Amino acid sequence: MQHEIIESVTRVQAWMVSYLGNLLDIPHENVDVTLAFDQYGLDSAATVAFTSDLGHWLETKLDSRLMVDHNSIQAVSSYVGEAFGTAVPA
Amino acid sequence: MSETRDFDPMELGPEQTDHGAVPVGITVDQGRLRGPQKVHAIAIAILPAIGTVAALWIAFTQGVSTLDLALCAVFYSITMLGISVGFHRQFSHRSFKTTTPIRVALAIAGSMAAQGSVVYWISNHRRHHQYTDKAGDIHSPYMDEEREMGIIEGFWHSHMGWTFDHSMTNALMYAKDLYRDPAIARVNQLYYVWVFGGMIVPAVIGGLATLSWWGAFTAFLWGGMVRMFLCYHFTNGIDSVTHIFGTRPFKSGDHSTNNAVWALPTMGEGWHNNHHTFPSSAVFGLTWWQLDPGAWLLYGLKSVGLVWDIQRPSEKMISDKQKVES
Ligand SMILES: [Zn+2]
Ligand SMILES: [Zn+2]
Repeated sequence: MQHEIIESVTRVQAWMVSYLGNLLDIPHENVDVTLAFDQYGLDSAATVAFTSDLGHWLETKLDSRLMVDHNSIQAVSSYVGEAFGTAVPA
Repeated sequence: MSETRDFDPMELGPEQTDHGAVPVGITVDQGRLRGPQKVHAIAIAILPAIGTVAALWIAFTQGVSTLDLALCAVFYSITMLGISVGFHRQFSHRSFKTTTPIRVALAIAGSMAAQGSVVYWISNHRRHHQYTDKAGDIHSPYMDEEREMGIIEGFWHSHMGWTFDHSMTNALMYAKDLYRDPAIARVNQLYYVWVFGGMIVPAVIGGLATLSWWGAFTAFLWGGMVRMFLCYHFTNGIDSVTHIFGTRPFKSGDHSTNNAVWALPTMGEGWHNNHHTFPSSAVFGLTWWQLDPGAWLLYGLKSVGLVWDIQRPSEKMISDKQKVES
Protein backbone atom coordinates (compact mmCIF):
# COMPACT_ATOMS: atom_id res chain seq x y z
CA MET A 1 0.00 0.00 0.00
CA GLN A 2 1.29 3.44 -0.89
CA HIS A 3 2.38 5.79 1.84
CA GLU A 4 -0.33 8.40 1.02
CA ILE A 5 -3.05 5.76 1.14
CA ILE A 6 -1.95 4.60 4.58
CA GLU A 7 -2.01 8.21 5.76
CA SER A 8 -5.50 8.76 4.32
CA VAL A 9 -6.79 5.62 6.01
CA THR A 10 -5.33 6.82 9.30
CA ARG A 11 -6.98 10.24 8.95
CA VAL A 12 -10.41 8.76 8.19
CA GLN A 13 -10.05 6.38 11.12
CA ALA A 14 -9.09 9.20 13.49
CA TRP A 15 -12.07 11.28 12.33
CA MET A 16 -14.47 8.35 12.82
CA VAL A 17 -13.06 7.45 16.25
CA SER A 18 -13.54 11.02 17.40
CA TYR A 19 -17.06 11.18 15.91
CA LEU A 20 -18.21 7.93 17.52
CA GLY A 21 -16.53 8.79 20.84
CA ASN A 22 -18.35 12.14 20.95
CA LEU A 23 -21.64 10.57 19.85
CA LEU A 24 -21.63 7.90 22.55
CA ASP A 25 -19.83 10.07 25.10
CA ILE A 26 -16.99 7.55 25.60
CA PRO A 27 -13.22 8.30 25.76
CA HIS A 28 -11.68 8.11 22.29
CA GLU A 29 -9.03 5.64 23.45
CA ASN A 30 -11.83 3.23 24.37
CA VAL A 31 -13.26 3.17 20.84
CA ASP A 32 -12.48 -0.24 19.30
CA VAL A 33 -12.10 0.25 15.54
CA THR A 34 -12.70 -3.44 14.83
CA LEU A 35 -16.05 -3.63 16.63
CA ALA A 36 -19.17 -3.80 14.40
CA PHE A 37 -21.38 -0.69 14.47
CA ASP A 38 -24.36 -2.62 15.83
CA GLN A 39 -22.20 -3.70 18.78
CA TYR A 40 -22.10 0.00 19.65
CA GLY A 41 -25.91 0.12 19.71
CA LEU A 42 -26.25 1.87 16.35
CA ASP A 43 -29.13 1.14 13.98
CA SER A 44 -29.64 2.05 10.33
CA ALA A 45 -30.94 5.54 11.22
CA ALA A 46 -27.66 6.18 13.05
CA THR A 47 -25.34 4.77 10.39
CA VAL A 48 -27.16 6.71 7.65
CA ALA A 49 -26.65 9.97 9.58
CA PHE A 50 -23.04 9.01 10.47
CA THR A 51 -22.36 8.30 6.77
CA SER A 52 -23.95 11.61 5.77
CA ASP A 53 -21.67 13.51 8.19
CA LEU A 54 -18.62 11.59 6.96
CA GLY A 55 -19.64 12.59 3.44
CA HIS A 56 -19.87 16.26 4.47
CA TRP A 57 -16.36 16.07 5.86
CA LEU A 58 -15.09 14.48 2.64
CA GLU A 59 -17.16 17.01 0.62
CA THR A 60 -18.88 14.22 -1.29
CA LYS A 61 -22.02 12.10 -1.14
CA LEU A 62 -21.47 8.56 0.15
CA ASP A 63 -23.75 5.58 -0.43
CA SER A 64 -26.29 5.34 2.43
CA ARG A 65 -25.36 1.66 2.84
CA LEU A 66 -21.63 2.33 3.29
CA MET A 67 -21.68 1.29 6.97
CA VAL A 68 -23.77 -1.79 6.24
CA ASP A 69 -21.36 -3.03 3.59
CA HIS A 70 -18.35 -2.04 5.72
CA ASN A 71 -19.45 -2.74 9.27
CA SER A 72 -16.66 -1.26 11.46
CA ILE A 73 -14.54 1.88 11.67
CA GLN A 74 -11.56 -0.14 10.39
CA ALA A 75 -13.50 -1.47 7.39
CA VAL A 76 -14.97 1.93 6.47
CA SER A 77 -11.69 3.82 6.85
CA SER A 78 -9.65 1.41 4.74
CA TYR A 79 -12.33 1.50 2.03
CA VAL A 80 -12.77 5.29 2.11
CA GLY A 81 -9.05 5.98 2.56
CA GLU A 82 -8.22 3.94 -0.52
CA ALA A 83 -11.10 5.32 -2.58
CA PHE A 84 -10.41 8.98 -1.80
CA GLY A 85 -6.62 8.91 -1.25
CA THR A 86 -5.16 12.39 -1.02
CA ALA A 87 -8.66 13.94 -1.23
CA VAL A 88 -9.17 13.03 2.45
CA PRO A 89 -8.88 16.27 4.49
CA ALA A 90 -5.90 16.53 6.80
CA MET B 1 -41.01 22.20 37.88
CA SER B 2 -37.40 21.31 38.57
CA GLU B 3 -35.10 20.16 35.80
CA THR B 4 -34.71 16.40 35.37
CA ARG B 5 -32.58 16.54 32.23
CA ASP B 6 -29.19 17.93 31.29
CA PHE B 7 -30.44 18.94 27.84
CA ASP B 8 -33.59 20.39 26.30
CA PRO B 9 -35.20 17.75 24.04
CA MET B 10 -37.02 20.51 22.20
CA GLU B 11 -33.99 22.48 21.12
CA LEU B 12 -31.85 19.84 19.49
CA GLY B 13 -32.22 21.12 15.93
CA PRO B 14 -31.21 24.52 14.57
CA GLU B 15 -33.35 27.51 15.49
CA GLN B 16 -36.00 28.40 12.97
CA THR B 17 -35.14 31.86 11.72
CA ASP B 18 -37.25 31.91 8.56
CA HIS B 19 -40.72 30.45 9.01
CA GLY B 20 -40.99 29.54 5.34
CA ALA B 21 -37.97 27.23 5.16
CA VAL B 22 -37.20 23.77 6.56
CA PRO B 23 -34.15 24.18 8.85
CA VAL B 24 -30.91 22.74 7.42
CA GLY B 25 -29.60 19.40 8.68
CA ILE B 26 -32.73 18.09 10.45
CA THR B 27 -33.15 15.30 7.89
CA VAL B 28 -30.72 12.95 6.16
CA ASP B 29 -31.23 11.32 2.78
CA GLN B 30 -31.87 7.69 3.66
CA GLY B 31 -31.00 6.53 0.12
CA ARG B 32 -31.79 2.87 -0.36
CA LEU B 33 -33.52 2.70 3.05
CA ARG B 34 -36.44 4.63 1.54
CA GLY B 35 -37.87 1.38 0.12
CA PRO B 36 -38.06 -0.59 3.40
CA GLN B 37 -39.42 2.54 5.13
CA LYS B 38 -42.26 2.74 2.61
CA VAL B 39 -43.04 -0.98 2.94
CA HIS B 40 -43.27 -0.57 6.73
CA ALA B 41 -45.56 2.47 6.41
CA ILE B 42 -47.88 0.71 3.95
CA ALA B 43 -47.93 -2.49 6.03
CA ILE B 44 -48.94 -0.80 9.28
CA ALA B 45 -51.57 1.27 7.47
CA ILE B 46 -53.18 -1.62 5.59
CA LEU B 47 -52.62 -5.02 7.26
CA PRO B 48 -54.26 -4.26 10.65
CA ALA B 49 -57.19 -2.66 8.75
CA ILE B 50 -57.69 -5.88 6.75
CA GLY B 51 -57.37 -7.93 9.95
CA THR B 52 -59.96 -5.72 11.65
CA VAL B 53 -62.46 -6.20 8.81
CA ALA B 54 -61.90 -9.97 9.09
CA ALA B 55 -62.33 -9.89 12.89
CA LEU B 56 -65.61 -7.93 12.60
CA TRP B 57 -66.92 -10.21 9.87
CA ILE B 58 -66.24 -13.29 12.00
CA ALA B 59 -67.78 -11.55 15.02
CA PHE B 60 -71.01 -10.77 13.15
CA THR B 61 -71.31 -14.21 11.58
CA GLN B 62 -70.10 -16.44 14.43
CA GLY B 63 -69.83 -14.19 17.47
CA VAL B 64 -66.76 -13.13 19.43
CA SER B 65 -65.41 -14.63 22.65
CA THR B 66 -64.88 -12.70 25.87
CA LEU B 67 -61.29 -13.90 25.81
CA ASP B 68 -60.62 -12.26 22.44
CA LEU B 69 -62.19 -8.97 23.56
CA ALA B 70 -60.16 -9.10 26.76
CA LEU B 71 -56.94 -9.79 24.84
CA CYS B 72 -57.69 -6.82 22.62
CA ALA B 73 -58.37 -4.52 25.60
CA VAL B 74 -55.35 -5.66 27.61
CA PHE B 75 -52.84 -5.53 24.72
CA TYR B 76 -54.32 -2.20 23.61
CA SER B 77 -53.78 -0.73 27.07
CA ILE B 78 -50.23 -2.08 27.32
CA THR B 79 -49.32 -0.72 23.87
CA MET B 80 -50.91 2.69 24.33
CA LEU B 81 -49.32 3.13 27.76
CA GLY B 82 -46.02 2.18 26.09
CA ILE B 83 -46.58 4.91 23.52
CA SER B 84 -47.88 7.61 25.87
CA VAL B 85 -45.94 6.98 29.08
CA GLY B 86 -42.88 5.37 27.43
CA PHE B 87 -42.18 6.78 23.98
CA HIS B 88 -43.79 10.14 24.70
CA ARG B 89 -43.50 11.18 28.37
CA GLN B 90 -40.31 9.26 29.25
CA PHE B 91 -38.15 9.02 26.14
CA SER B 92 -39.20 12.12 24.14
CA HIS B 93 -39.62 14.55 27.03
CA ARG B 94 -37.77 13.00 30.00
CA SER B 95 -40.62 14.23 32.16
CA PHE B 96 -40.18 11.72 35.01
CA LYS B 97 -37.53 9.36 36.33
CA THR B 98 -37.78 5.60 36.71
CA THR B 99 -35.73 2.40 36.90
CA THR B 100 -34.02 0.75 33.92
CA PRO B 101 -36.31 -2.34 33.97
CA ILE B 102 -39.35 -0.06 33.72
CA ARG B 103 -37.73 2.00 30.98
CA VAL B 104 -37.06 -1.22 29.04
CA ALA B 105 -40.62 -2.48 29.61
CA LEU B 106 -42.08 0.84 28.40
CA ALA B 107 -39.84 0.86 25.31
CA ILE B 108 -40.89 -2.71 24.43
CA ALA B 109 -44.59 -1.94 25.00
CA GLY B 110 -44.40 1.14 22.76
CA SER B 111 -42.55 -0.79 20.05
CA MET B 112 -45.50 -3.22 19.88
CA ALA B 113 -47.55 -0.43 18.25
CA ALA B 114 -45.39 -0.84 15.11
CA GLN B 115 -45.14 2.91 14.68
CA GLY B 116 -41.38 2.67 14.19
CA SER B 117 -38.53 2.00 16.58
CA VAL B 118 -38.05 4.07 19.73
CA VAL B 119 -35.28 6.18 18.10
CA TYR B 120 -37.37 6.82 14.97
CA TRP B 121 -40.48 7.82 16.95
CA ILE B 122 -38.64 10.05 19.42
CA SER B 123 -36.62 11.81 16.68
CA ASN B 124 -39.79 12.65 14.78
CA HIS B 125 -41.63 13.75 17.90
CA ARG B 126 -38.92 16.09 19.20
CA ARG B 127 -38.76 17.61 15.74
CA HIS B 128 -42.57 18.06 15.84
CA HIS B 129 -42.24 20.07 19.06
CA GLN B 130 -39.41 22.28 17.86
CA TYR B 131 -41.18 23.35 14.66
CA THR B 132 -44.85 22.66 15.52
CA ASP B 133 -47.16 23.48 12.58
CA LYS B 134 -44.33 25.27 10.74
CA ALA B 135 -41.87 24.24 8.05
CA GLY B 136 -39.79 21.40 9.51
CA ASP B 137 -42.69 19.77 11.43
CA ILE B 138 -42.86 16.23 10.04
CA HIS B 139 -46.62 15.74 10.56
CA SER B 140 -48.43 19.06 10.73
CA PRO B 141 -51.92 19.38 9.19
CA TYR B 142 -50.92 22.86 7.99
CA MET B 143 -47.43 22.59 6.47
CA ASP B 144 -45.86 19.83 4.35
CA GLU B 145 -42.18 20.86 4.33
CA GLU B 146 -42.49 24.35 2.81
CA ARG B 147 -45.99 24.05 1.36
CA GLU B 148 -49.23 25.11 3.06
CA MET B 149 -52.13 22.65 2.84
CA GLY B 150 -55.91 22.92 2.87
CA ILE B 151 -57.91 21.19 5.60
CA ILE B 152 -58.70 17.91 3.78
CA GLU B 153 -55.21 17.34 2.47
CA GLY B 154 -53.78 18.55 5.79
CA PHE B 155 -55.84 16.04 7.77
CA TRP B 156 -54.71 13.17 5.51
CA HIS B 157 -51.06 14.29 5.58
CA SER B 158 -50.87 14.63 9.38
CA HIS B 159 -52.84 11.44 10.05
CA MET B 160 -51.11 9.02 7.63
CA GLY B 161 -49.81 10.69 4.49
CA TRP B 162 -46.51 11.85 5.97
CA THR B 163 -45.44 8.30 6.88
CA PHE B 164 -45.13 7.00 3.33
CA ASP B 165 -42.43 9.14 1.76
CA HIS B 166 -40.69 11.46 4.20
CA SER B 167 -36.99 12.21 4.48
CA MET B 168 -35.54 10.53 7.54
CA THR B 169 -35.19 12.72 10.63
CA ASN B 170 -31.54 13.03 11.64
CA ALA B 171 -31.49 10.58 14.56
CA LEU B 172 -28.00 11.64 15.65
CA MET B 173 -29.22 15.23 15.99
CA TYR B 174 -32.45 14.33 17.81
CA ALA B 175 -31.88 11.09 19.75
CA LYS B 176 -28.22 10.89 20.80
CA ASP B 177 -29.27 10.26 24.40
CA LEU B 178 -31.01 7.01 23.38
CA TYR B 179 -27.87 5.65 21.69
CA ARG B 180 -25.93 6.52 24.86
CA ASP B 181 -28.32 4.36 26.87
CA PRO B 182 -27.19 0.74 26.22
CA ALA B 183 -30.42 -0.95 27.36
CA ILE B 184 -32.63 1.30 25.24
CA ALA B 185 -30.27 1.14 22.25
CA ARG B 186 -30.63 -2.65 22.43
CA VAL B 187 -34.45 -2.51 22.60
CA ASN B 188 -34.28 -0.16 19.61
CA GLN B 189 -32.22 -2.63 17.56
CA LEU B 190 -34.64 -5.46 18.35
CA TYR B 191 -37.68 -3.47 17.16
CA TYR B 192 -39.11 -6.19 14.90
CA VAL B 193 -38.91 -8.76 17.71
CA TRP B 194 -41.33 -6.61 19.74
CA VAL B 195 -43.62 -5.97 16.76
CA PHE B 196 -43.99 -9.66 15.95
CA GLY B 197 -43.95 -10.67 19.62
CA GLY B 198 -46.95 -8.40 20.16
CA MET B 199 -48.86 -10.38 17.53
CA ILE B 200 -47.64 -13.86 18.52
CA VAL B 201 -48.20 -13.65 22.28
CA PRO B 202 -52.00 -13.07 22.11
CA ALA B 203 -52.24 -15.85 19.50
CA VAL B 204 -50.39 -18.27 21.81
CA ILE B 205 -52.65 -17.31 24.74
CA GLY B 206 -55.78 -17.78 22.61
CA GLY B 207 -54.53 -21.11 21.26
CA LEU B 208 -53.64 -22.50 24.68
CA ALA B 209 -56.89 -21.28 26.27
CA THR B 210 -59.09 -22.89 23.60
CA LEU B 211 -56.70 -25.68 22.59
CA SER B 212 -57.44 -24.91 18.95
CA TRP B 213 -55.80 -23.28 15.91
CA TRP B 214 -58.99 -21.31 15.31
CA GLY B 215 -58.74 -19.87 18.83
CA ALA B 216 -55.14 -18.88 18.14
CA PHE B 217 -56.24 -17.22 14.90
CA THR B 218 -59.10 -15.15 16.34
CA ALA B 219 -56.88 -14.15 19.30
CA PHE B 220 -54.25 -13.01 16.77
CA LEU B 221 -56.94 -10.96 14.99
CA TRP B 222 -58.20 -9.26 18.17
CA GLY B 223 -55.02 -9.03 20.27
CA GLY B 224 -52.82 -8.32 17.24
CA MET B 225 -54.63 -6.77 14.27
CA VAL B 226 -57.60 -4.95 15.86
CA ARG B 227 -55.37 -3.75 18.70
CA MET B 228 -52.78 -2.35 16.23
CA PHE B 229 -55.49 -0.78 14.06
CA LEU B 230 -56.89 1.08 17.07
CA CYS B 231 -53.43 2.09 18.35
CA TYR B 232 -52.47 3.37 14.91
CA HIS B 233 -55.49 5.61 14.41
CA PHE B 234 -55.78 6.89 17.98
CA THR B 235 -52.06 7.73 18.07
CA ASN B 236 -52.06 9.33 14.62
CA GLY B 237 -55.12 11.29 15.68
CA ILE B 238 -52.90 13.12 18.19
CA ASP B 239 -51.12 14.62 15.15
CA SER B 240 -54.28 15.22 13.08
CA VAL B 241 -57.42 15.49 15.29
CA THR B 242 -55.79 17.30 18.23
CA HIS B 243 -54.08 19.79 15.95
CA ILE B 244 -57.41 20.67 14.27
CA PHE B 245 -60.51 19.93 16.41
CA GLY B 246 -61.03 20.98 20.03
CA THR B 247 -60.44 23.84 22.41
CA ARG B 248 -57.33 25.96 22.92
CA PRO B 249 -57.32 27.18 26.54
CA PHE B 250 -53.65 28.16 26.29
CA LYS B 251 -51.74 30.25 23.80
CA SER B 252 -49.25 27.55 22.88
CA GLY B 253 -48.07 29.26 19.70
CA ASP B 254 -49.36 26.42 17.48
CA HIS B 255 -52.67 24.78 16.52
CA SER B 256 -52.73 22.07 19.22
CA THR B 257 -56.08 21.45 20.95
CA ASN B 258 -57.61 19.80 23.99
CA ASN B 259 -60.09 17.13 22.91
CA ALA B 260 -62.00 15.23 25.60
CA VAL B 261 -63.15 12.52 23.16
CA TRP B 262 -59.55 11.75 22.26
CA ALA B 263 -58.24 11.82 25.83
CA LEU B 264 -59.36 8.48 27.28
CA PRO B 265 -58.44 6.10 24.41
CA THR B 266 -55.03 7.80 24.09
CA MET B 267 -54.24 7.44 27.81
CA GLY B 268 -54.44 11.22 28.30
CA GLU B 269 -52.76 12.41 25.10
CA GLY B 270 -55.97 14.20 24.04
CA TRP B 271 -55.05 17.14 26.33
CA HIS B 272 -52.66 18.10 23.60
CA ASN B 273 -52.94 21.89 23.97
CA ASN B 274 -51.93 21.41 27.62
CA HIS B 275 -49.03 19.28 26.43
CA HIS B 276 -47.74 21.75 23.84
CA THR B 277 -48.01 24.49 26.48
CA PHE B 278 -46.14 22.48 29.14
CA PRO B 279 -44.13 19.95 27.09
CA SER B 280 -41.85 18.92 29.96
CA SER B 281 -44.82 18.04 32.20
CA ALA B 282 -45.40 14.31 32.75
CA VAL B 283 -49.03 15.11 33.55
CA PHE B 284 -51.32 16.08 30.65
CA GLY B 285 -54.68 16.41 32.45
CA LEU B 286 -54.33 19.60 34.49
CA THR B 287 -57.75 19.56 36.21
CA TRP B 288 -59.53 16.73 38.05
CA TRP B 289 -61.95 16.19 35.18
CA GLN B 290 -59.26 15.98 32.49
CA LEU B 291 -58.90 12.18 32.51
CA ASP B 292 -55.26 11.14 32.13
CA PRO B 293 -54.70 7.37 32.59
CA GLY B 294 -50.98 7.75 31.76
CA ALA B 295 -50.57 10.05 34.76
CA TRP B 296 -52.55 7.60 36.93
CA LEU B 297 -50.01 4.90 36.02
CA LEU B 298 -47.15 7.24 36.92
CA TYR B 299 -48.62 8.14 40.33
CA GLY B 300 -49.38 4.45 40.96
CA LEU B 301 -45.76 3.53 40.25
CA LYS B 302 -44.61 6.49 42.34
CA SER B 303 -46.57 5.20 45.34
CA VAL B 304 -44.52 1.99 45.27
CA GLY B 305 -41.26 3.86 44.73
CA LEU B 306 -40.67 2.87 41.10
CA VAL B 307 -41.15 6.36 39.62
CA TRP B 308 -39.94 9.71 40.95
CA ASP B 309 -39.42 13.35 39.92
CA ILE B 310 -42.78 13.53 38.09
CA GLN B 311 -42.79 16.97 36.42
CA ARG B 312 -45.96 19.07 36.66
CA PRO B 313 -46.56 22.81 36.23
CA SER B 314 -47.48 24.83 39.33
CA GLU B 315 -50.87 26.56 39.59
CA LYS B 316 -49.09 29.87 38.98
CA MET B 317 -47.41 28.58 35.81
CA ILE B 318 -50.81 27.40 34.60
CA SER B 319 -52.61 30.69 35.29
CA ASP B 320 -49.72 32.68 33.74
CA LYS B 321 -50.16 30.78 30.49
CA GLN B 322 -53.97 31.01 30.43
CA LYS B 323 -55.26 32.55 27.26
CA VAL B 324 -55.98 36.26 27.43
CA GLU B 325 -59.18 37.00 25.49
CA SER B 326 -58.42 39.42 22.72
ZN1 LIG C 1 -48.55 17.97 18.65
ZN1 LIG D 1 -44.70 15.74 23.05
